[in-house]
Amino acid sequence: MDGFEVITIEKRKTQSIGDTEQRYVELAVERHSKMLFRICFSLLNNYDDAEDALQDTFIRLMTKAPQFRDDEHEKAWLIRVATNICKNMLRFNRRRSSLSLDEIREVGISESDTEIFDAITALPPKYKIVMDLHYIEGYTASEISQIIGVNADAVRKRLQNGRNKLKAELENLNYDE
Amino acid sequence: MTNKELVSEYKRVMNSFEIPSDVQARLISKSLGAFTGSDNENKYFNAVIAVSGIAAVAAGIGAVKLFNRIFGD
Repeated sequence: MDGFEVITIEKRKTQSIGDTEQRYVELAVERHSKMLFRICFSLLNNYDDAEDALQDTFIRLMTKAPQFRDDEHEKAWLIRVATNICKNMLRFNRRRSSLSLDEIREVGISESDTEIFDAITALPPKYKIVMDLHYIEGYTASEISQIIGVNADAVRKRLQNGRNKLKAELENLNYDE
Repeated sequence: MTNKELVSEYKRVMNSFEIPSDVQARLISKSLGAFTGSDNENKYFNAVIAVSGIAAVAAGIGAVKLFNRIFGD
């Protein structure tokens, strides 16, 4: 850590919260919190755990204070940190909780979509994360491979397996759109 | 169900996902708390700056002495 970096972080740490810091936090939350909460929620299948993981992610953003090239770099960093935090939480808590109807409702999922949402959250985490990043966030397999640290072929395979598994589950449920 | 229909349903459901406003409010509050840091972290950074400063002054004094030895009386 060179002298300039230390002084920069030191200034931030000892200053009281001003408008700039407050605005930075508010903007970061506005830009990224919905996406990150959705990822954490679907990986962890638990409302409280998802909120904890989300808070840990943002605390790391504030305390590590990395230098980002641009907004996309910041977003990719946050996704990587959030998924790693969720993986660690899953490692220590292997049992899968079932989501209650209340929890599902609180995140805006309608009752009629409960079945498909349950089927999505029942997928293995490695499929859920690539499906979210590709179909919801619009990342290519190559971009996803950079974010989560697996090669692009593995990403494509996980997308295919995720689709197949979800389709099989919905067909078992006789799901009608 | 075709793949296209499956992906369309997946997107429809996941895009309806919302983050509750109280979760966002708590997130802002906790993040701002982390931003100012703890007393221990401030002490660590103060110590690093002090050591860097002392090292810089010592190097400066050493450079002046070397200059005087080479170019001095």
